[in-house]
Order: sequence, then structure tokens, then C-alpha cells
Amino acid sequence: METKTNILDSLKGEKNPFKVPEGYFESLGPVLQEVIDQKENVVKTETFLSRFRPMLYAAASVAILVCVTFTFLTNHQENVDQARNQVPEEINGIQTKILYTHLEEESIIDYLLSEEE
Amino acid sequence: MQESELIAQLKDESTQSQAFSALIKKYQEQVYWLIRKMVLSHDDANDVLQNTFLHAWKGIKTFRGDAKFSTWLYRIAVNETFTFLANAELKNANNMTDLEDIMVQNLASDEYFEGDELQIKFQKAILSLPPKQRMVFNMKYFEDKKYEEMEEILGTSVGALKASYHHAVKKIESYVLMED
Repeated sequence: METKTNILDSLKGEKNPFKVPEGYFESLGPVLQEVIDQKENVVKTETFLSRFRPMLYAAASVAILVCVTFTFLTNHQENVDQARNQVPEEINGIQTKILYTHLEEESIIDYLLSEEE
Repeated sequence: MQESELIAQLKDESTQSQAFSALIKKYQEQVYWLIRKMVLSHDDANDVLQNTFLHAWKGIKTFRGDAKFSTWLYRIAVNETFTFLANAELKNANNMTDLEDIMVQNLASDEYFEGDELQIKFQKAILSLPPKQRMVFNMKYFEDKKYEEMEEILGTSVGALKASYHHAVKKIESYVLMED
């Protein structure tokens, strides 16, 4: 038992085997202060951002909505204009076809002959 | 400057930062060694120390002055150390080698450790204790802290602390004498 106690006592008397880099404790205070200041700034920036984050999201959503609506309306107007230009020609063709189908063949021949005369 | 004056300055926002810097200077070494004896590596001790002071600064408003500043700071350091060790244990969960064995291996090749074989065996013996008992042993053996102060820091009764230290000493003595 005495030997056991002596071992811990003798180890306690030995010098600290753990070392630190040279000048570590001298520079520790300013380093710790710097770390604290840096983290403080990050927290402050985050707090500022988080305060305005909902407003930023809302503004971005409105901007996206305006862009989408504008694009949709422009394309829609172009399609309408294009459709307006195309539709009468098609309708004319159809009307001519309908007209011809209702005429008797003899009437057409008479008409053509009268024109030759 | 007296500690009571620094504590008073801590409560005033205009002098808070300056007082905290003075308190960092006063306790940095003690807190460092408490952490270092637990995590062994200098780099890890430095990280835990920075987190300790950062948390102390963030929580400075919660310091009411009921306990000594050093006790309050030690409590934060102890929590940070246990958190660090628990995380290291988690990271090492899939490794076949125990964290304590890795810590001893690293210690042997650490440029900031100048201990001989017996010192390494001694550290190995301390590492064989569970973290909380290791903390109790380190506080009493290396720092000669009073059980009453340890009670405040660790939240464990004086009786339980005495028993824990007694068992720790027995385990370490057997380990150092028997282990090859």
C-alpha cells in the first residue's frame, strides 16, 4: 500500500510533462478576444439578415411574380395577334369550298360560257 | 484590480468588454490546464478553451454573481470538455480502436508532451476512468481543488466526490503498478 501511495506522490512531484507552444499564454488573451469579436460580428450580421429575411423573401416573390406575369402577357398578346392574322385566310378558303359545293355543275358551265361570249 | 470590481464592471455594458478581457487573462491558464489534462492534445485543448470563453462571453448576462466567477467559468469549461469528448467518442464509434487508446497513441507522438514511459502509463491509467471520474481525479490530484468548490462546479455532493476520488486513486495505482 505504501508503494502504491508513493507512486502517485512521486508522479505528483515530477514536472508537468505537458508543454505549450512558446509564447502561447502571452498571446492567448488577444487571440481569445479576437475570436470573440469575430463570432460577435457573425452573430450581428446573421441577426441583421434574419431580421430582414422575411421582407427579402417577400420582395423576391413579388419580383418573380411580376416577371412571370409580364412574360405570360407578352407571349399571350403575340399569340392573339398571330391568330388574328391567320384565321381569316383559313375561313376564306373554307367559305369558297362551301360555295362551290352548293353550285350545280351546269350553272358553272353556263357562267363560264357567258363570260367567253 | 480586485475581482469584485471586475465583476461589477461586467454588469455595466460600457465596461463589460474590458472587464471580461481582464478575467480572461486571469483565468486562461488555469482553465487551459483543466481542459488539457482531459483532452491531452494541445490543439484540442485550445479549441475547447476558445469555445469556453466564447460561451462565457455569450452568457455573461446570466452570471448573477451568486457563485465565484472562477466557479462559473469552470462549470462552462467542464461542460465544453464533456461535449468535446462525447463528440469525439461519437466520431470514433465505427473505429475498432477505442478513443482512449487513440488518445494515448497520439500523446506518445505529441511534440508538446515530454513525458517518459511511466508518465504515459500514468495518463493511460487516468484515461481508463470514465470522463466524470477522470475530471474529479484531475481536479483533486493536479489542482488540489476543495471538494466544496468541486461540488459547485460538477453538481455532485461532497460525499460522492470523495468516494469517486478514492476509487479513482485505487484504480490508477493498480493500473500503474500492474499494467505492462
